[in-house]
Amino acid sequence: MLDIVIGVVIIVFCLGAASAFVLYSRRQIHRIALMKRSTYRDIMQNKHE
Amino acid sequence: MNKPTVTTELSRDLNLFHLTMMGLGMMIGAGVFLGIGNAIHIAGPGGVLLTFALNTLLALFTAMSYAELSSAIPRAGGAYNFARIGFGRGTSFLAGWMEWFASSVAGSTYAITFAIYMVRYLEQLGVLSWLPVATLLVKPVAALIALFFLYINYRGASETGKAGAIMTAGQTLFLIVIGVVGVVVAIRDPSRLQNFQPFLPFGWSRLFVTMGFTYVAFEGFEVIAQAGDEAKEPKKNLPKAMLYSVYIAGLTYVAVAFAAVISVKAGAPGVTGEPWQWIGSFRERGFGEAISRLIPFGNFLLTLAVIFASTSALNATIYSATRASYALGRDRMLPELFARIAKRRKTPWFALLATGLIVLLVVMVLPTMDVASSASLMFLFLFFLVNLCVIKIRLNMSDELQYGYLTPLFPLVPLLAISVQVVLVAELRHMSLIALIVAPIWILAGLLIYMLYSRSRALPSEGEIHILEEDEAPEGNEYRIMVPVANPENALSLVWNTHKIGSSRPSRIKLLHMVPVPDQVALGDAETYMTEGREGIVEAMLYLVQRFPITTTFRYCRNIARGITSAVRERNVDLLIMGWHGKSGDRRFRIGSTLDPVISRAPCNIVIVKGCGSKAFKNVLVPLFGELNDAFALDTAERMVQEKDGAITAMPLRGAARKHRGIWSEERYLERLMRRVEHRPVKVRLKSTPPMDPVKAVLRESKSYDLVVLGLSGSFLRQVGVPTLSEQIARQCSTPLILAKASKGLSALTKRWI
Repeated sequence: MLDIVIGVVIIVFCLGAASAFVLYSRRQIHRIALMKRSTYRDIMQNKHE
Repeated sequence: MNKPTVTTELSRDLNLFHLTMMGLGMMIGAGVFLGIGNAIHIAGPGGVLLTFALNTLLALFTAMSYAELSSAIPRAGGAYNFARIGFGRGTSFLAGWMEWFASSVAGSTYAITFAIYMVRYLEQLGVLSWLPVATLLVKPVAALIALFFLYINYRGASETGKAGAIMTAGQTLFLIVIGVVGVVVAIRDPSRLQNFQPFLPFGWSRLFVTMGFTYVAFEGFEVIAQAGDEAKEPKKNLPKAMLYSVYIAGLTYVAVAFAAVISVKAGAPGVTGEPWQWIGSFRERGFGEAISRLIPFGNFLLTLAVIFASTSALNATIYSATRASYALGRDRMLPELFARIAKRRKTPWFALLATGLIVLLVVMVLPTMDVASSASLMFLFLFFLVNLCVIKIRLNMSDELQYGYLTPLFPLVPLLAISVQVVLVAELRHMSLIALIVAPIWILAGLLIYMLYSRSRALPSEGEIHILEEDEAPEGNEYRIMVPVANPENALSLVWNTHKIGSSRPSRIKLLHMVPVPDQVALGDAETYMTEGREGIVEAMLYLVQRFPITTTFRYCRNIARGITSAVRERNVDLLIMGWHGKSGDRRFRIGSTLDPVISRAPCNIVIVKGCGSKAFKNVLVPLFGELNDAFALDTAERMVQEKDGAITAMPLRGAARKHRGIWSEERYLERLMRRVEHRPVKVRLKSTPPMDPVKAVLRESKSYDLVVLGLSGSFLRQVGVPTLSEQIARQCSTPLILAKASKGLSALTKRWI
């Protein structure tokens, strides 16, 4: 039974984390696409402004 | 007269949907249909779900590395391209060479899978009853389907993308239907969830085995990376397509594996033992047997799905292999012929022909399924390399590349992916004998070609740094100082101060002039930009040559900061001394567009001199920030001050020692610093800071001194645009100033290594 609980938690965690990464990345791609210049420095500075 | 350079390019036809489907087509290949039964057999009913869930997340990590690099370097070549920029010619050639082979062999595998299922299906229909042994048809059918997709690829990227997209959409839809049916059946008959008992009958360790052989099925982002030259809006569409395709494939796999496990009811007619054991006993056919009990005509529909899956994967792999060899030809790592593009179709016809020959050779002559494991090994090597590249390129070139996407949680994500790939390579030790022979032969052949052909002929890439002139003296144990001289006007004051700093110990000085070559000028014409730099170097040499052993070097590159960092690393420099005019022309940079990246990346001590001229200094102020650089700032101040009547004033800033709370009290910290300088010839006295803003306090105090020496730190804050205290002071201070940064600790070691 413990195996099932741990297993289900891992599966939910993996799929949840994958969804979060994809959603975050999508937002980030759209945000960067609006920038005129997008070196690493530009992106980080834009994020903290 | 030079022959005009003719550049060829592919047409940009592929949109987000085409790219996502291309990746998905390669991932939802026939391998997964065959893999589910095997995974249930090895890891049990829960193991198969865990395998796909974990692999989805881990594949997403590598996909994020691919996405970042493809968005910044959207060119055909995939891993080869990234390795070229990250690690240079040798590694990149090997990456491209392996990528070409791995994709071609994967293509042959899909052609054979298609043929096996097609022949079996025709056999079931009774069409092949006239043939004594129907399996004899497998290889010719595989060759025919491979030829068909070679032709589709010749027609152009748009046709390739559209053909793949239709087939992939069909098979994905079919799998989603299976997943939905599985969930509905489980809701209507919850007793079937008992099939997951025991969840992991063989324990957790078996998961590594199943993850090992299914991980490579997530290779689809490689084919998307290959489409860099042909994608519309590549900065946006390439990363999106990579992430979407891995995500959709992962969810689909988990749903389908769930459906397979619950599809069989315990005790149903014909089912012996536990349902999962019964499914697993069929191994590769297990998924088909399970699905045939879940939906009507399951076996027939599955056969169709495998046929679709193998054709779309075949299409994608031929595309990927062709672009890998095209990229090698484009950079003259292979003969120029590989980069020839058909005028009408705009496709690399010779690269396609060569790829076709490999695919057909493996299909017709070699035992294809045995050779396939060598492709898995090579794909894992490529993923490993790309994860290393994303770290190296971000650290070295992040100010030059225009990114469309950045990997989150950097560098944790690529490092995690690398660790897992090392474990999975170990799981491939059970490769077939033929794979163990073929893989080394191909790699050795590649090494030979590189040594005998590619190394001397490869075109310089845009990112490479070239040494124009360099004189070398035999290496000694002296302290190695490098001085980049850019402006002839301040060259003399820079060397005057270099003389002071270096005079306390035996030193060897290297004068460096980086020649910046504008983007629109070919690197081959860079010699014309050398003249101005030579003037500064000659002046500096005349002054220093009587006092120190001096060597000079002229290099050209696109980016001065990277050129300097690279020279520092190559020459194992101990101290880098640079001049600063005192303001940054570009407001994105705190100190300057060249100085900022050099400060963050150069693996040595750095001293930046502002407005010091050729003066002698008597009173030097050293504000202390409670950081590693304080000690180095005191050392530097000691060298700059006159020995006889000079004095140094150390001013601990309020709250500076707070950083040491828990280990060092403020008193303990200062006592330690003072002990370091107490036996030196120059007097050091302590001065307390007035109760006010530390920046204002230092600026007010600095007016009474000849020179201010500041320790410089906080590289992360600098990168995100938050000015550190020392930078705020440096920008506003009107007194001559020196910024000092010591190279110490783990970050210095990492910088040197990378």
